[in-house]
Amino acid sequence: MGEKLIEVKNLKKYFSSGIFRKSYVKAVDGVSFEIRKGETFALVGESGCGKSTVGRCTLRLVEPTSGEVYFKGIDILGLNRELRDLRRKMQIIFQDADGSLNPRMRILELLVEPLRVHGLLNGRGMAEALRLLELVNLTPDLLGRYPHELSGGQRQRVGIARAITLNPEFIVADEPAASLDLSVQAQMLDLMKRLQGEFGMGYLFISHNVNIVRLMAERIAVMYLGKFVEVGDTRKIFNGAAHPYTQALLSAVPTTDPSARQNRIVLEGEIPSPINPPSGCRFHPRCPEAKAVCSEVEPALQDTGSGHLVACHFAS
Amino acid sequence: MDLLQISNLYVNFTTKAGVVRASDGVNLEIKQGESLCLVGESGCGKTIVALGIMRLLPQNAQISGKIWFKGKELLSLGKEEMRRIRGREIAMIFEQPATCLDPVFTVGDQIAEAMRVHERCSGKESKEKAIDLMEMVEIPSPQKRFKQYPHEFSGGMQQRAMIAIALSYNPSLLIADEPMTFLDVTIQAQIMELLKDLVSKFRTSLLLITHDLGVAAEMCDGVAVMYAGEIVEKGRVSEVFKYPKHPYTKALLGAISNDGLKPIKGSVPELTSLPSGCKFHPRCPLVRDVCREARPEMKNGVRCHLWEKS
Repeated sequence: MGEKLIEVKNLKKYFSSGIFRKSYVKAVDGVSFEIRKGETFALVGESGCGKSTVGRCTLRLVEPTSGEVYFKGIDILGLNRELRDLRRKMQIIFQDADGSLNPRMRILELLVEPLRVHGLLNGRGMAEALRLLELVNLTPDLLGRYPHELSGGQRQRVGIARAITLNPEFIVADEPAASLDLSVQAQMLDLMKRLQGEFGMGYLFISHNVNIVRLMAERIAVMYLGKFVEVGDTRKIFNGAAHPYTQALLSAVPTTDPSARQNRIVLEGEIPSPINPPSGCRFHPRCPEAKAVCSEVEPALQDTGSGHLVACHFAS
Repeated sequence: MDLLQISNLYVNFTTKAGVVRASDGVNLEIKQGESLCLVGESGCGKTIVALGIMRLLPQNAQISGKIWFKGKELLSLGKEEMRRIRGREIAMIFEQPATCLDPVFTVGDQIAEAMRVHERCSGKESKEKAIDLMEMVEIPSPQKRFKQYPHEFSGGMQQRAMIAIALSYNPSLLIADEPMTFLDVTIQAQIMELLKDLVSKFRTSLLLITHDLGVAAEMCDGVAVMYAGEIVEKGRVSEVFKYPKHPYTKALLGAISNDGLKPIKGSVPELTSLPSGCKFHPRCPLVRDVCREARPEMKNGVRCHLWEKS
């Protein structure tokens, strides 16, 4: 195991809404995790569960309501000017490369922009851009083009190239392949794995796609309504999920293999609003195994052995 | 007998960049009560085929070929005749229900509207039928939900309302274009169950369009795999997904599987400048000289030179 790269403790982010009667959307409600050097830690969950907000709070792109975030032991929430320098080491890849690339800049400008912003250009822009293009398998003839002239896959490669321009040690990848076609998705994930092998970055990988997470991450956290319900080694969770939500989530994925289809758990109802989440265990209104205690007492995230954490009253 | 038979459907668009060959000789049959899935990546022409059946292609589309439905050739029907088929005999649901529902009318009104238009029944009667339909698609408390607007519905509930509208006149064929793509997996599982139940209950034939091979495998009996405007492989779901013949089908199934990542090199070709010969040849791991020159024919359910000989 490598050294500790990121440590997040009891992170909370509440968004306030309403003018006359203030109410709070508890997007993230107390999550803690660690990411080690060279490791991929994934957040899985359905839309609105708060996974992207966790990613953004970890980079302080969104100011957390409370909690602590450490990058190599440095408390990044306490930094002001120094944070700018630290940002070189912490980057993000967005889902939507369309939205994150400036349409008025050519690919060359886009690639060297991070260097320019940090004052590291020193006339080596062209050489750097060519090095980056090669790393992400793009051809140099794209340098003079604008983002709209590229395909979705190529744009996402530019997004990845921009994220690694400054040799970061930590990257948040927020649904990096979700908007792409299956064949291109696999290329992108393969590229991310290769770059990780080469440079040893730690990834916080955010995805709703269980199949992808299984291939990318060593450890995963399953989120539901702003909280972790289960955290542990990917292999352990896929071989024996302990939380009923994880079980349902894994079983709901459509598959081409008929034998894997037998134990489908179809959940009733929909994800409740995070403005007033259900009492007790947040999952209890949809849980097939809910008992009286679940609606009253909130289960704590507890270790069931060798780092496999589960928040359920009945997890064995 | 086939309920729907498409033969040699060509759809071209003339654009500044050249001729876009969106559908390049598609042949497809759907039997009464059968469910068929059209799978492929974006831009392969699956939606074009669906819109062709519905005669909803844009004005500038150049269409040739034949689409037989219950003994009628749809492409030669007059506007009025087609209107009588569209929505009654062939209904369609789309990927984003939010864009299909009118935001200024209540959801109940829109379901009742379908009843009024097709069955010419009174306002009160149509409301009762609409509420029955909402019950059928398992929208909870339909009396209350009837008076709500689309924005008060979640994505899953909106899609249920769309299904209610589509099935209101008990069509023989339902076309579902990526009906679950933007829903979360737990909601997707619910809608999948619902659609499967309703389709078998009403013995509706289903043409499902999706890029998700898992969804295809779970929903349908038959499958047709599309690539760059043509069907490259078709057959029973149980056979095609277990023993894929075409290298593209194989590569798609293996791209993201439990065995790891096996990316397909390159990208989907531009429809304005398609490769010569087999359209998949620049990306195919088994490419030979003949693949670059001659376009393979569809034989025994696969369009590939390597299978023609055996």
